[in-house]
Amino acid sequence: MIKVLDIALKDMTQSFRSLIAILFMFGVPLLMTAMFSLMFGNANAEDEAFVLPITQVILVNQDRGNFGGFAEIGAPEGNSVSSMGGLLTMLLESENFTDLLQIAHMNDPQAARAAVDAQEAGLAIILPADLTDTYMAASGSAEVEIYQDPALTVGPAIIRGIVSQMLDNFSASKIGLNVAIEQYARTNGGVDEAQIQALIGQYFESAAAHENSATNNLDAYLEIRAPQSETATDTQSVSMIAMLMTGMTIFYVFFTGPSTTQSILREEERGTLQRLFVTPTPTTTILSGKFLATLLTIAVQFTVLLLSGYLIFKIQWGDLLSVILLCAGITLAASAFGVFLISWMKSERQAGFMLGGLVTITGMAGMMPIFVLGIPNPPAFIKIVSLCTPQGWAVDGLQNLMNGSSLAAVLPNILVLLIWAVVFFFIGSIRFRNRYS
Amino acid sequence: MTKSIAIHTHDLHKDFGEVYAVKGVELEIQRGEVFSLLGPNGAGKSTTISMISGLLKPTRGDATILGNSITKNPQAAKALIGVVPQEIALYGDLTARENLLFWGKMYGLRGTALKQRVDEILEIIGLTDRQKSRVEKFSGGMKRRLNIGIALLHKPDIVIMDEPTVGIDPQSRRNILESVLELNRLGMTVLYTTHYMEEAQELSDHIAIMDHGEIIASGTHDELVRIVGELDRIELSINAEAARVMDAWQRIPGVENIAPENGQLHLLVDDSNTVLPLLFETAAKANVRITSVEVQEPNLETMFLHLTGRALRD
Amino acid sequence: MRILYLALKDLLQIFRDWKSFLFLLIMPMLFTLVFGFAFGGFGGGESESDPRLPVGIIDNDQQFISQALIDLLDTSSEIRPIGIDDATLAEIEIMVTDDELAAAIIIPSGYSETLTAGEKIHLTTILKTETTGGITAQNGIQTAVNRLMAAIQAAEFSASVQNQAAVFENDSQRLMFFKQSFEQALAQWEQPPFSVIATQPSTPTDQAESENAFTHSSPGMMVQFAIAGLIGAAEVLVLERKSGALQRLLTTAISKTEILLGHFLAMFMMIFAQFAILISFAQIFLDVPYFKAPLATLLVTLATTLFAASMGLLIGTIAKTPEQAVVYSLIPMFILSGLGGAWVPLEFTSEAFQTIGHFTPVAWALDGFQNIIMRGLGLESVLLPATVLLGFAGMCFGLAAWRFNFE
Repeated sequence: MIKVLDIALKDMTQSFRSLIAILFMFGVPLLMTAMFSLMFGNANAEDEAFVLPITQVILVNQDRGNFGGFAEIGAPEGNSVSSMGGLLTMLLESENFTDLLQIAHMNDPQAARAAVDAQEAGLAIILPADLTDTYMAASGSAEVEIYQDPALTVGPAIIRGIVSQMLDNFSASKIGLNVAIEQYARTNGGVDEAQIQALIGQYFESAAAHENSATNNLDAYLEIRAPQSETATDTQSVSMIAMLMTGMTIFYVFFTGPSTTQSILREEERGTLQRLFVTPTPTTTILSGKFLATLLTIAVQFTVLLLSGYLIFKIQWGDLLSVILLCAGITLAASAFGVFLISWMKSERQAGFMLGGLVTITGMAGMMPIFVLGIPNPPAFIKIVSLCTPQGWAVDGLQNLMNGSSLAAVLPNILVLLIWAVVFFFIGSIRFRNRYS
Repeated sequence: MTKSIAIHTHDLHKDFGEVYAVKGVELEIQRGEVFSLLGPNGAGKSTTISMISGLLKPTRGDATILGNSITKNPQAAKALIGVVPQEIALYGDLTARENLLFWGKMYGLRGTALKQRVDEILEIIGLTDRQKSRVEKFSGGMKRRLNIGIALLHKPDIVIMDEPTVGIDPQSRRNILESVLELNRLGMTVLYTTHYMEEAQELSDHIAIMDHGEIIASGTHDELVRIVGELDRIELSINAEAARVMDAWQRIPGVENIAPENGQLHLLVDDSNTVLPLLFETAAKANVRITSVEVQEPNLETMFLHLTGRALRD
Repeated sequence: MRILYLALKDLLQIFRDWKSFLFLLIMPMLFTLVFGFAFGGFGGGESESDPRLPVGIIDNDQQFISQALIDLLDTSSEIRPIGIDDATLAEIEIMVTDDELAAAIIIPSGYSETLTAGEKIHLTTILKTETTGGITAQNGIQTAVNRLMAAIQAAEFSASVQNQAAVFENDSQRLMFFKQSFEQALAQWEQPPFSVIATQPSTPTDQAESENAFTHSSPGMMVQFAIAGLIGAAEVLVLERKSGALQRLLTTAISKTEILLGHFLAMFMMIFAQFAILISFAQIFLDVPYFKAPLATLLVTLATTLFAASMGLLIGTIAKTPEQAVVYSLIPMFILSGLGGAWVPLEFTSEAFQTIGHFTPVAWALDGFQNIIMRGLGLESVLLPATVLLGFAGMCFGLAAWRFNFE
């Protein structure tokens, strides 16, 4: 037993003397987390897992019409505009949307489209010349063109939604009037121009009187709230940076496993493994010492990364006992993963390439749920793919704990990780024993 | 098995499938002697050593170390031997002291005893001043000394050295040969493998000659040389293709064997004084000029040539 | 010729282990598919036939206004209503939390009656406001509710006008009139007077192609795994130095420059072959239109290959051991891929990060490819990205050459 510790400590000494190994175990995960947090802006906010990007917009207002006496329709208090185009422009440039779009003006629609093509803007909003005229007319329709960069998805979609809602407000008053006029005509056998004007006047008086009309105050009719799930003990959502740190930690912990176990191949190539075999040290002891080194190294790495996450990024990992038990399962799985992978390699050179590749693939697969965090309703198979890897179970478990789940909720994760560990270790150790028997 | 026998191998075989490397090797090495296993590259020496030291499992047969079977009681057997591998087998990213401490632990040494022994070994191999330097920074000679030092940590009864002088400079080689003799003077049994005849001749009390996986001769130097009797060995250089004279020389009475090697011709003859003039005469008739002649007393090289028809360094 | 011989020798060493090359091809293909499906169009839902976000509806009212609301939701281009009348509130909460539903709407009993009477009543909507899915669902729901309320207002106004002209004899008459007006308004909402038309560059890429989810993932994964492939190539250099073969080479007639170029050529050929196969795969099986502007695609590919090969050369000259070669290859792969938008499009990131991202060659490579496959642009559009990539290539090659000579 003591020799197992001797071998493990020797291996750990070698590991922690390597600057490259230290960098990869601690430096890179922390750096990557910091980098991704920079990527997603306000990623440490607990109520903002995703920050919408600001889209550059070019606005072309071709509207020639004039409201005439209805200049204050729909305009924010204290403002007056002479056309629908002017009104839309004012609304889009208001404070409400400064976090979403930045507007530049152009006169020529072709030039605006060309600017979008040249990626000077994400999209161009082109208001037609007959916008106000259509509003003032009894019938007819007008289309606002939104010309967008096809490489962008989120920003243009949101702005399309905003513009659509604004246009809906205008459509609402027009439809309301049309229905009133049609119904009046139907029930009274017709309607003349004077009656129409009277109805129009009546309509807008009524609209002005009803300041809390539904279309102006949707909150009175639509209550939006976040889900309160049993799986969460509080409604606090996990911040983006916490998820990123989780992903990076798991990824690099599962890299350390094979990387540390690789020392077996290194020693074989250098002759020190054979030298170990000619000492009065059983093969089992030698291999056990190497496995123990992997286990202890990962344990140290895990502890340092979780602590760093807590101290630097203020990440609340969850209930301490649950975290410890889950991390123990992850440590065992990662160590056994290393034993398993390296048992298939014949040389250090082969191991280098395959290790890097296989760990990258399984790590990325396990992290898939994190990659699609900002994506609406990702396909279910993403989670399935992720759970085909031990990394996926580890990420899922830590996410649950950060969400406030209890130990009972992550017991399946711990159990599955232990099963992974047993299976990997069993196959790996048999292969090593056969190789070195 | 008496305790005067340090190593005994019985019917040792190793079949790798594609290569049958060792075929029934029987060795008996007495305590306190230097025993050389001599043979050309690929003879099976390293494979035999690997089986004796417990690194390889024999296909058949067994080896005992002071009565302890390497197959049935490997840990006890390994505790009695120190192995100096052919390649430098050290941890480059650890210091000399750290290497010794670790290997000492692997040999069962602990605590103060270990530390004292490490100090002693550092003194013996002359690396006390550099004990805290990482091995990767050592010169080749220093690494070799440390490589040997590790094998001596646990004061083994037997030291096995696998071709320790391959590819090193003459000075270092000299130092290693001296250290082997010193170890023997201290009472250690040394099993030494080499393909250099002169090393075997200089160091050994007993020599076993191995070729193609088999021991083809074994004994003291004098016993082995006597195998070739009174045959003289003549080494000749000529200024033409060997084929021009070989047939003719083969027919000369007294010529036992001719083997070309590295541009020279090695001949075994009954009496060099009688045969030499006839060699010159035959060469002259074939318009071949002999450019150098060396006559040697019977030795291991002669013996090997006699037994195998090849020079030892073929 | 010596340069070519050296390059061929390197390639022989790299592909001696055929599994490695297979991995370099299979993995990017796999991840292209996975990331493509994951980012499968903004609003990519689970249903292949209807990719709109699923919104669960519990209709406790079952009257004309609640039905009208459901019909309005169904006309949305972003969301699709799904009846979940059997689910409990707790189950609904979980379905939204677990992203089975983008949102859930609970229409209370008496909804139609209350609104008909001109009173206010809340429609409870459960969604995650901090996710893009939730935001999208919220937009869709607000649009539908907005239109519903507008139709109700129109009906109310019409009824009040009628009330002035002729008093309704009873409530049911009023209600009937209200319903008629309401339905008329809804009919007009099917083609509202003001609408948005979304357009995109029409040449040469058509709408379907630009919405192809793999146009995001394909170039990203190609570039990332091109960098990953440098591990093997860099190891060849490292082992050449460690084994003494480099020193031996230097004793022959080949010059240092030729040695460097030979190794560079091997890496170039390997990465170019990888790109060629992956581009063909994406074009043929995933309909990613790389071949629509073949010269432009070739230029970006060449420039990216030159950069990657130069970086591989640099790694090979810096790394002292195979382990270092692996680490020095993987670290830039992660950092450059992440920063450059290979995993998550830079569009989803902050403005500052988008700027930072363009300090990396990966972002420029992706810009170049996306100009071709998403924006349908041609050779001119890739000149700038190609030039930047060549600049990076020159920098890496220069450093590698200096390092090699210094040694």
